[in-house]
Amino acid sequence: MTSEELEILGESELSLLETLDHVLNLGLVVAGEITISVANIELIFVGLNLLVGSTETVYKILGKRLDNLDQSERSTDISSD
Amino acid sequence: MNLYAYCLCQEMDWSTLETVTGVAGARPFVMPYDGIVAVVSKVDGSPIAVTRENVLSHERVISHVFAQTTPLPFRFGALLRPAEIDLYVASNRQALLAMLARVRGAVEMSVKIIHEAGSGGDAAHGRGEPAQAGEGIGRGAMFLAVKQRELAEGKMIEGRAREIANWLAEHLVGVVNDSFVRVRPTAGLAVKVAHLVERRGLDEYREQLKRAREERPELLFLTSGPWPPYSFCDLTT
Amino acid sequence: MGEAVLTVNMEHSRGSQLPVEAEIETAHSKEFLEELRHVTEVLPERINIDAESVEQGLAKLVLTVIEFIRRLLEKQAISRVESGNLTPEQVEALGLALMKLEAKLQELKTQFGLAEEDLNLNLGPLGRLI
Repeated sequence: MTSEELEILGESELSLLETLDHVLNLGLVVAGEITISVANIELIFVGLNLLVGSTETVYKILGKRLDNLDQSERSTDISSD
Repeated sequence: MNLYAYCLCQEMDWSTLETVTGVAGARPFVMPYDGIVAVVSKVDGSPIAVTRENVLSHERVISHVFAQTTPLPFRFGALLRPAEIDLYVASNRQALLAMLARVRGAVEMSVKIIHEAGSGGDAAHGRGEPAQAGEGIGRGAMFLAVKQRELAEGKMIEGRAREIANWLAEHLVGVVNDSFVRVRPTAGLAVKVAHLVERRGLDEYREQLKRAREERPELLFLTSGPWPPYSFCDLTT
Repeated sequence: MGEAVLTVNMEHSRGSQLPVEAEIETAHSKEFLEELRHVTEVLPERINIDAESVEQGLAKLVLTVIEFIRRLLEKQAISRVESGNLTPEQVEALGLALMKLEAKLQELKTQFGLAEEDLNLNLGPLGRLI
Protein backbone atom coordinates (compact mmCIF):
# COMPACT_ATOMS: atom_id res chain seq x y z
CA MET A 1 0.00 0.00 0.00
CA THR A 2 1.70 3.16 -1.13
CA SER A 3 1.06 6.35 0.75
CA GLU A 4 -0.71 7.61 -2.31
CA GLU A 5 -3.07 4.66 -2.29
CA LEU A 6 -3.66 5.18 1.40
CA GLU A 7 -4.49 8.77 0.70
CA ILE A 8 -7.06 7.80 -1.90
CA LEU A 9 -8.57 5.32 0.53
CA GLY A 10 -8.81 7.99 3.17
CA GLU A 11 -10.53 10.30 0.78
CA SER A 12 -13.07 7.68 -0.17
CA GLU A 13 -13.86 6.99 3.43
CA LEU A 14 -14.19 10.71 4.02
CA SER A 15 -16.55 11.01 1.10
CA LEU A 16 -18.65 8.12 2.36
CA LEU A 17 -18.79 9.50 5.88
CA GLU A 18 -19.72 12.95 4.68
CA THR A 19 -22.55 11.38 2.64
CA LEU A 20 -23.66 9.40 5.68
CA ASP A 21 -23.67 12.53 7.77
CA HIS A 22 -26.33 13.92 5.48
CA VAL A 23 -28.50 10.95 4.62
CA LEU A 24 -28.56 9.18 7.95
CA ASN A 25 -30.01 11.81 10.27
CA LEU A 26 -31.46 14.48 8.05
CA GLY A 27 -34.23 14.52 5.50
CA LEU A 28 -37.94 13.87 5.73
CA VAL A 29 -38.94 11.50 8.50
CA VAL A 30 -42.22 9.65 8.56
CA ALA A 31 -43.39 8.44 11.95
CA GLY A 32 -43.57 4.69 12.16
CA GLU A 33 -41.42 4.02 9.13
CA ILE A 34 -39.43 0.81 9.12
CA THR A 35 -35.88 1.83 8.97
CA ILE A 36 -32.29 0.62 9.17
CA SER A 37 -30.28 -2.33 10.34
CA VAL A 38 -26.70 -3.52 10.69
CA ALA A 39 -23.68 -2.72 12.82
CA ASN A 40 -21.83 0.45 12.05
CA ILE A 41 -18.36 -0.95 11.53
CA GLU A 42 -19.55 -3.01 8.59
CA LEU A 43 -20.26 0.07 6.58
CA ILE A 44 -16.78 1.45 6.68
CA PHE A 45 -15.28 -1.99 6.48
CA VAL A 46 -17.27 -2.95 3.42
CA GLY A 47 -16.40 0.31 1.78
CA LEU A 48 -12.71 -0.12 2.33
CA ASN A 49 -12.84 -3.77 1.42
CA LEU A 50 -14.35 -3.01 -1.93
CA LEU A 51 -11.67 -0.48 -2.61
CA VAL A 52 -8.74 -2.54 -1.48
CA GLY A 53 -9.94 -6.03 -2.34
CA SER A 54 -8.20 -7.74 0.52
CA THR A 55 -9.32 -8.24 4.07
CA GLU A 56 -5.79 -8.42 5.46
CA THR A 57 -4.79 -5.13 3.93
CA VAL A 58 -7.89 -3.49 5.31
CA TYR A 59 -7.02 -4.74 8.77
CA LYS A 60 -3.50 -3.45 8.40
CA ILE A 61 -4.81 -0.06 7.48
CA LEU A 62 -7.46 0.13 10.16
CA GLY A 63 -4.99 -1.38 12.55
CA LYS A 64 -5.30 0.60 15.76
CA ARG A 65 -9.00 1.28 15.37
CA LEU A 66 -9.94 -2.38 15.10
CA ASP A 67 -7.80 -3.28 18.07
CA ASN A 68 -10.38 -1.54 20.15
CA LEU A 69 -13.15 -3.77 18.93
CA ASP A 70 -14.31 -7.06 20.34
CA GLN A 71 -12.55 -10.09 18.97
CA SER A 72 -15.93 -11.67 18.32
CA GLU A 73 -17.20 -8.70 16.35
CA ARG A 74 -14.09 -8.91 14.20
CA SER A 75 -14.55 -12.50 13.24
CA THR A 76 -18.20 -11.93 12.36
CA ASP A 77 -17.19 -9.20 9.96
CA ILE A 78 -14.65 -11.39 8.23
CA SER A 79 -17.18 -14.07 7.45
CA SER A 80 -19.79 -11.72 6.05
CA ASP A 81 -19.38 -10.27 2.55
CA MET B 1 -46.04 -4.28 -0.55
CA ASN B 2 -43.29 -2.09 0.81
CA LEU B 3 -41.83 0.92 -0.84
CA TYR B 4 -38.47 2.54 -0.38
CA ALA B 5 -39.05 6.28 -0.36
CA TYR B 6 -36.31 8.45 -1.87
CA CYS B 7 -37.76 11.92 -2.03
CA LEU B 8 -40.70 14.19 -2.70
CA CYS B 9 -40.55 16.76 -5.44
CA GLN B 10 -42.70 18.84 -7.70
CA GLU B 11 -43.73 17.33 -11.02
CA MET B 12 -40.86 16.31 -13.17
CA ASP B 13 -39.97 14.36 -16.27
CA TRP B 14 -39.61 10.91 -14.77
CA SER B 15 -38.48 9.22 -17.96
CA THR B 16 -34.96 10.04 -16.82
CA LEU B 17 -35.38 7.58 -13.97
CA GLU B 18 -35.85 4.69 -16.33
CA THR B 19 -32.16 3.96 -16.56
CA VAL B 20 -31.38 4.36 -12.87
CA THR B 21 -31.02 1.54 -10.38
CA GLY B 22 -32.08 2.15 -6.84
CA VAL B 23 -31.82 0.36 -3.53
CA ALA B 24 -31.77 -3.45 -3.80
CA GLY B 25 -31.41 -3.12 -7.54
CA ALA B 26 -34.99 -2.00 -7.99
CA ARG B 27 -36.14 0.52 -10.58
CA PRO B 28 -37.50 3.74 -9.11
CA PHE B 29 -40.90 5.02 -10.17
CA VAL B 30 -43.19 7.86 -9.15
CA MET B 31 -46.43 8.26 -7.26
CA PRO B 32 -48.13 11.51 -8.22
CA TYR B 33 -50.17 13.61 -5.79
CA ASP B 34 -51.25 16.77 -7.58
CA GLY B 35 -48.34 19.15 -7.38
CA ILE B 36 -46.22 16.76 -5.36
CA VAL B 37 -44.58 13.59 -6.58
CA ALA B 38 -43.06 10.80 -4.53
CA VAL B 39 -40.11 8.88 -5.94
CA VAL B 40 -40.07 5.29 -4.68
CA SER B 41 -39.02 1.77 -5.49
CA LYS B 42 -40.22 -1.67 -4.40
CA VAL B 43 -38.43 -3.58 -1.70
CA ASP B 44 -39.10 -6.56 0.53
CA GLY B 45 -40.04 -5.78 4.11
CA SER B 46 -36.79 -6.09 6.01
CA PRO B 47 -35.01 -3.02 7.38
CA ILE B 48 -32.51 -1.55 4.98
CA ALA B 49 -28.90 -2.38 5.80
CA VAL B 50 -26.60 0.59 6.07
CA THR B 51 -24.09 -0.51 3.48
CA ARG B 52 -22.03 1.54 1.14
CA GLU B 53 -24.01 0.16 -1.77
CA ASN B 54 -27.40 1.07 -0.36
CA VAL B 55 -26.32 4.52 0.71
CA LEU B 56 -24.93 5.25 -2.74
CA SER B 57 -28.06 3.86 -4.42
CA HIS B 58 -30.18 6.12 -2.26
CA GLU B 59 -28.07 9.10 -3.24
CA ARG B 60 -27.95 8.10 -6.91
CA VAL B 61 -31.71 8.13 -7.37
CA ILE B 62 -32.05 11.44 -5.56
CA SER B 63 -29.22 12.93 -7.66
CA HIS B 64 -31.09 12.10 -10.82
CA VAL B 65 -34.14 13.91 -9.57
CA PHE B 66 -31.93 16.74 -8.29
CA ALA B 67 -30.59 17.27 -11.81
CA GLN B 68 -34.04 18.49 -12.83
CA THR B 69 -35.65 19.90 -9.75
CA THR B 70 -34.76 20.33 -6.11
CA PRO B 71 -36.41 17.52 -4.14
CA LEU B 72 -37.03 17.05 -0.45
CA PRO B 73 -35.07 13.89 0.28
CA PHE B 74 -36.27 11.27 2.73
CA ARG B 75 -33.95 10.18 5.47
CA PHE B 76 -32.06 7.06 4.43
CA GLY B 77 -33.93 3.86 5.16
CA ALA B 78 -37.55 4.98 4.89
CA LEU B 79 -39.71 1.93 4.18
CA LEU B 80 -43.38 2.62 3.88
CA ARG B 81 -46.57 1.12 2.60
CA PRO B 82 -48.30 3.05 -0.19
CA ALA B 83 -51.11 4.03 2.17
CA GLU B 84 -48.57 5.51 4.58
CA ILE B 85 -47.11 7.67 1.86
CA ASP B 86 -50.62 8.77 0.84
CA LEU B 87 -51.32 9.75 4.42
CA TYR B 88 -48.01 11.51 4.90
CA VAL B 89 -48.40 13.65 1.80
CA ALA B 90 -52.06 14.40 2.49
CA SER B 91 -51.60 15.40 6.11
CA ASN B 92 -48.49 17.52 5.46
CA ARG B 93 -49.50 18.93 2.15
CA GLN B 94 -49.30 22.62 2.98
CA ALA B 95 -46.00 22.31 4.82
CA LEU B 96 -44.53 20.22 2.00
CA LEU B 97 -45.60 22.68 -0.68
CA ALA B 98 -44.14 25.53 1.35
CA MET B 99 -40.91 23.62 1.83
CA LEU B 100 -40.68 22.80 -1.87
CA ALA B 101 -41.18 26.46 -2.71
CA ARG B 102 -38.46 27.38 -0.24
CA VAL B 103 -35.85 25.07 -1.75
CA ARG B 104 -36.82 25.64 -5.35
CA GLY B 105 -33.82 26.58 -7.48
CA ALA B 106 -31.50 26.10 -4.56
CA VAL B 107 -29.02 23.55 -3.25
CA GLU B 108 -27.53 22.71 0.09
CA MET B 109 -23.87 23.45 0.70
CA SER B 110 -22.19 22.10 3.79
CA VAL B 111 -19.46 23.69 5.88
CA LYS B 112 -17.78 21.99 8.80
CA ILE B 113 -15.25 23.76 10.94
CA ILE B 114 -12.82 22.32 13.43
CA HIS B 115 -11.30 24.72 15.84
CA GLU B 116 -8.30 22.89 17.24
CA ALA B 117 -7.35 25.60 19.65
CA GLY B 118 -10.90 25.44 20.90
CA SER B 119 -10.63 21.90 22.16
CA GLY B 120 -11.09 22.86 25.76
CA GLY B 121 -8.15 25.23 25.72
CA ASP B 122 -6.28 25.76 28.93
CA ALA B 123 -8.95 24.44 31.17
CA ALA B 124 -8.74 20.99 29.62
CA HIS B 125 -5.11 20.63 30.55
CA GLY B 126 -6.01 20.30 34.16
CA ARG B 127 -4.83 23.63 35.33
CA GLY B 128 -6.10 24.43 38.74
CA GLU B 129 -6.61 20.77 39.45
CA PRO B 130 -8.43 20.65 42.76
CA ALA B 131 -6.66 19.15 45.75
CA GLN B 132 -7.17 15.49 46.46
CA ALA B 133 -10.03 14.52 48.68
CA GLY B 134 -8.85 14.17 52.23
CA GLU B 135 -6.73 17.29 52.27
CA GLY B 136 -9.51 19.19 53.89
CA ILE B 137 -11.87 18.60 50.99
CA GLY B 138 -14.38 15.79 51.17
CA ARG B 139 -15.35 13.45 48.35
CA GLY B 140 -18.68 15.17 47.96
CA ALA B 141 -17.17 18.60 47.64
CA MET B 142 -14.61 17.28 45.16
CA PHE B 143 -17.35 15.77 43.07
CA LEU B 144 -19.08 19.11 42.84
CA ALA B 145 -15.85 20.93 42.08
CA VAL B 146 -15.15 18.61 39.15
CA LYS B 147 -18.66 19.04 37.84
CA GLN B 148 -18.37 22.77 38.17
CA ARG B 149 -15.23 22.81 36.09
CA GLU B 150 -16.76 20.58 33.42
CA LEU B 151 -19.74 22.90 33.19
CA ALA B 152 -17.54 25.95 32.81
CA GLU B 153 -15.43 24.28 30.14
CA GLY B 154 -18.51 23.24 28.24
CA LYS B 155 -19.88 26.75 28.28
CA MET B 156 -16.61 28.17 27.06
CA ILE B 157 -16.34 25.76 24.16
CA GLU B 158 -19.94 26.35 23.22
CA GLY B 159 -19.37 30.10 23.31
CA ARG B 160 -16.41 29.75 20.97
CA ALA B 161 -18.40 27.62 18.59
CA ARG B 162 -21.24 30.13 18.50
CA GLU B 163 -18.80 32.91 17.81
CA ILE B 164 -17.47 31.01 14.82
CA ALA B 165 -20.97 30.33 13.54
CA ASN B 166 -21.89 34.00 13.79
CA TRP B 167 -18.69 35.14 12.12
CA LEU B 168 -19.32 32.81 9.21
CA ALA B 169 -22.91 33.93 8.89
CA GLU B 170 -21.80 37.53 8.63
CA HIS B 171 -19.48 36.67 5.77
CA LEU B 172 -22.24 34.99 3.84
CA VAL B 173 -25.06 37.49 4.20
CA GLY B 174 -26.74 37.93 0.85
CA VAL B 175 -25.44 34.73 -0.75
CA VAL B 176 -27.31 32.38 1.51
CA ASN B 177 -31.11 31.99 1.58
CA ASP B 178 -31.20 30.05 4.79
CA SER B 179 -28.89 28.21 7.11
CA PHE B 180 -29.03 25.44 9.65
CA VAL B 181 -26.34 25.51 12.29
CA ARG B 182 -25.32 22.77 14.66
CA VAL B 183 -22.84 23.64 17.34
CA ARG B 184 -21.08 20.78 19.03
CA PRO B 185 -19.56 21.73 22.33
CA THR B 186 -16.92 19.05 22.51
CA ALA B 187 -13.32 19.08 21.50
CA GLY B 188 -12.91 18.90 17.75
CA LEU B 189 -15.77 19.72 15.47
CA ALA B 190 -17.02 23.08 16.53
CA VAL B 191 -19.59 23.96 13.94
CA LYS B 192 -21.58 22.22 11.27
CA VAL B 193 -23.51 24.51 8.97
CA ALA B 194 -25.85 23.77 6.11
CA HIS B 195 -26.49 26.64 3.72
CA LEU B 196 -29.38 26.93 1.31
CA VAL B 197 -27.86 28.60 -1.72
CA GLU B 198 -29.44 29.44 -5.06
CA ARG B 199 -27.87 27.56 -7.95
CA ARG B 200 -27.26 30.87 -9.69
CA GLY B 201 -25.46 32.21 -6.64
CA LEU B 202 -23.05 29.31 -6.16
CA ASP B 203 -20.02 31.03 -7.62
CA GLU B 204 -20.41 34.04 -5.39
CA TYR B 205 -21.04 31.80 -2.40
CA ARG B 206 -17.82 29.90 -3.05
CA GLU B 207 -15.96 33.16 -3.45
CA GLN B 208 -17.20 34.53 -0.11
CA LEU B 209 -16.43 31.25 1.58
CA LYS B 210 -12.90 31.32 0.22
CA ARG B 211 -12.40 34.80 1.65
CA ALA B 212 -13.68 33.67 5.01
CA ARG B 213 -11.27 30.75 5.08
CA GLU B 214 -8.36 33.00 4.29
CA GLU B 215 -9.31 35.38 7.03
CA ARG B 216 -9.00 32.77 9.76
CA PRO B 217 -6.25 30.27 8.99
CA GLU B 218 -6.45 28.79 12.47
CA LEU B 219 -9.81 27.23 11.57
CA LEU B 220 -9.92 23.93 9.68
CA PHE B 221 -12.58 23.82 7.00
CA LEU B 222 -14.34 21.02 5.22
CA THR B 223 -16.81 22.08 2.56
CA SER B 224 -19.01 19.84 0.48
CA GLY B 225 -21.87 20.09 -1.92
CA PRO B 226 -24.04 20.62 -3.71
CA TRP B 227 -26.39 18.34 -1.80
CA PRO B 228 -30.13 17.98 -2.01
CA PRO B 229 -31.56 19.95 0.94
CA TYR B 230 -31.44 17.27 3.65
CA SER B 231 -31.06 19.88 6.38
CA PHE B 232 -34.10 21.82 5.29
CA CYS B 233 -36.70 19.11 5.63
CA ASP B 234 -37.95 19.83 9.10
CA LEU B 235 -41.69 20.22 8.70
CA THR B 236 -42.16 21.41 12.24
CA THR B 237 -40.46 24.77 11.68
CA MET C 1 -52.85 12.79 -12.70
CA GLY C 2 -51.80 13.09 -16.31
CA GLU C 3 -48.83 12.38 -18.49
CA ALA C 4 -45.23 13.05 -17.72
CA VAL C 5 -44.64 16.43 -19.25
CA LEU C 6 -41.99 19.04 -18.93
CA THR C 7 -43.82 21.58 -16.84
CA VAL C 8 -43.20 25.28 -16.99
CA ASN C 9 -42.02 25.11 -13.43
CA MET C 10 -38.80 23.41 -14.45
CA GLU C 11 -35.90 25.01 -12.73
CA HIS C 12 -33.51 24.41 -15.55
CA SER C 13 -33.55 24.80 -19.28
CA ARG C 14 -35.26 22.07 -21.25
CA GLY C 15 -33.59 18.75 -21.11
CA SER C 16 -32.28 17.48 -17.81
CA GLN C 17 -28.78 18.14 -16.70
CA LEU C 18 -26.42 15.43 -15.64
CA PRO C 19 -26.75 14.45 -12.00
CA VAL C 20 -24.36 16.46 -9.90
CA GLU C 21 -22.08 14.67 -7.50
CA ALA C 22 -21.44 16.42 -4.24
CA GLU C 23 -17.80 17.36 -4.06
CA ILE C 24 -15.85 17.43 -0.86
CA GLU C 25 -12.99 19.78 -0.26
CA THR C 26 -10.64 20.01 2.67
CA ALA C 27 -6.98 20.45 3.38
CA HIS C 28 -7.34 18.44 6.58
CA SER C 29 -8.60 14.96 5.71
CA LYS C 30 -7.08 13.34 8.76
CA GLU C 31 -8.71 15.63 11.27
CA PHE C 32 -12.10 15.46 9.63
CA LEU C 33 -11.94 11.69 9.20
CA GLU C 34 -11.46 11.38 12.90
CA GLU C 35 -14.40 13.67 13.54
CA LEU C 36 -16.75 12.25 10.95
CA ARG C 37 -16.34 8.73 12.24
CA HIS C 38 -18.65 9.84 15.02
CA VAL C 39 -21.45 9.75 12.45
CA THR C 40 -21.55 6.00 12.63
CA GLU C 41 -22.03 6.22 16.37
CA VAL C 42 -25.56 7.39 15.78
CA LEU C 43 -26.43 4.09 14.12
CA PRO C 44 -26.89 2.13 17.34
CA GLU C 45 -29.38 4.77 18.46
CA ARG C 46 -31.55 4.30 15.41
CA ILE C 47 -31.40 0.54 15.55
CA ASN C 48 -32.28 0.53 19.21
CA ILE C 49 -35.36 2.56 18.56
CA ASP C 50 -36.54 0.01 16.05
CA ALA C 51 -35.63 -3.13 17.85
CA GLU C 52 -36.18 -2.45 21.50
CA SER C 53 -38.71 -4.29 23.56
CA VAL C 54 -41.58 -2.58 25.32
CA GLU C 55 -39.85 -2.99 28.67
CA GLN C 56 -36.64 -1.47 27.51
CA GLY C 57 -38.54 1.33 25.86
CA LEU C 58 -40.25 2.14 29.11
CA ALA C 59 -36.99 1.98 31.04
CA LYS C 60 -35.45 4.33 28.54
CA LEU C 61 -38.27 6.79 28.99
CA VAL C 62 -38.14 6.74 32.76
CA LEU C 63 -34.36 6.89 32.97
CA THR C 64 -34.21 9.76 30.52
CA VAL C 65 -36.50 11.82 32.67
CA ILE C 66 -34.52 10.94 35.80
CA GLU C 67 -31.27 11.79 34.04
CA PHE C 68 -32.72 15.13 33.01
CA ILE C 69 -33.70 15.90 36.58
CA ARG C 70 -30.34 14.71 37.86
CA ARG C 71 -28.54 17.15 35.61
CA LEU C 72 -30.79 19.94 36.72
CA LEU C 73 -30.08 19.12 40.35
CA GLU C 74 -26.37 19.10 39.66
CA LYS C 75 -26.50 22.53 38.08
CA GLN C 76 -28.59 23.92 40.91
CA ALA C 77 -26.19 22.47 43.45
CA ILE C 78 -23.24 24.06 41.71
CA SER C 79 -24.82 27.50 41.70
CA ARG C 80 -25.68 27.16 45.36
CA VAL C 81 -22.09 26.27 46.13
CA GLU C 82 -20.90 29.20 44.02
CA SER C 83 -23.25 31.54 45.86
CA GLY C 84 -21.27 30.76 49.00
CA ASN C 85 -24.34 30.34 51.17
CA LEU C 86 -23.59 26.79 52.20
CA THR C 87 -21.45 25.52 55.02
CA PRO C 88 -18.65 23.09 54.15
CA GLU C 89 -20.69 20.31 55.73
CA GLN C 90 -23.66 21.13 53.55
CA VAL C 91 -21.51 21.23 50.42
CA GLU C 92 -20.06 17.85 51.32
CA ALA C 93 -23.47 16.31 51.98
CA LEU C 94 -24.86 17.71 48.72
CA GLY C 95 -21.90 16.42 46.74
CA LEU C 96 -22.14 12.95 48.24
CA ALA C 97 -25.86 12.75 47.52
CA LEU C 98 -25.37 13.70 43.89
CA MET C 99 -22.49 11.31 43.57
CA LYS C 100 -24.67 8.48 44.76
CA LEU C 101 -27.46 9.49 42.42
CA GLU C 102 -25.12 9.44 39.46
CA ALA C 103 -23.78 6.03 40.45
CA LYS C 104 -27.29 4.63 40.92
CA LEU C 105 -28.40 5.86 37.55
CA GLN C 106 -25.32 4.32 35.96
CA GLU C 107 -26.24 1.03 37.59
CA LEU C 108 -29.77 1.18 36.21
CA LYS C 109 -28.53 2.00 32.74
CA THR C 110 -26.28 -1.05 32.82
CA GLN C 111 -29.11 -3.22 34.10
CA PHE C 112 -31.26 -2.31 31.13
CA GLY C 113 -28.42 -2.42 28.66
CA LEU C 114 -28.69 1.24 27.80
CA ALA C 115 -25.78 3.40 26.79
CA GLU C 116 -25.30 7.09 27.48
CA GLU C 117 -26.54 8.10 24.08
CA ASP C 118 -29.66 5.94 24.37
CA LEU C 119 -31.09 8.24 26.96
CA ASN C 120 -32.67 11.03 25.12
CA LEU C 121 -36.06 12.11 23.98
CA ASN C 122 -36.79 13.84 20.74
CA LEU C 123 -39.34 16.47 21.55
CA GLY C 124 -39.84 17.51 17.94
CA PRO C 125 -39.71 21.28 17.66
CA LEU C 126 -38.35 21.56 21.19
CA GLY C 127 -35.30 19.62 20.21
CA ARG C 128 -33.82 16.92 22.35
CA LEU C 129 -34.42 16.71 26.07
CA ILE C 130 -30.80 16.20 27.02
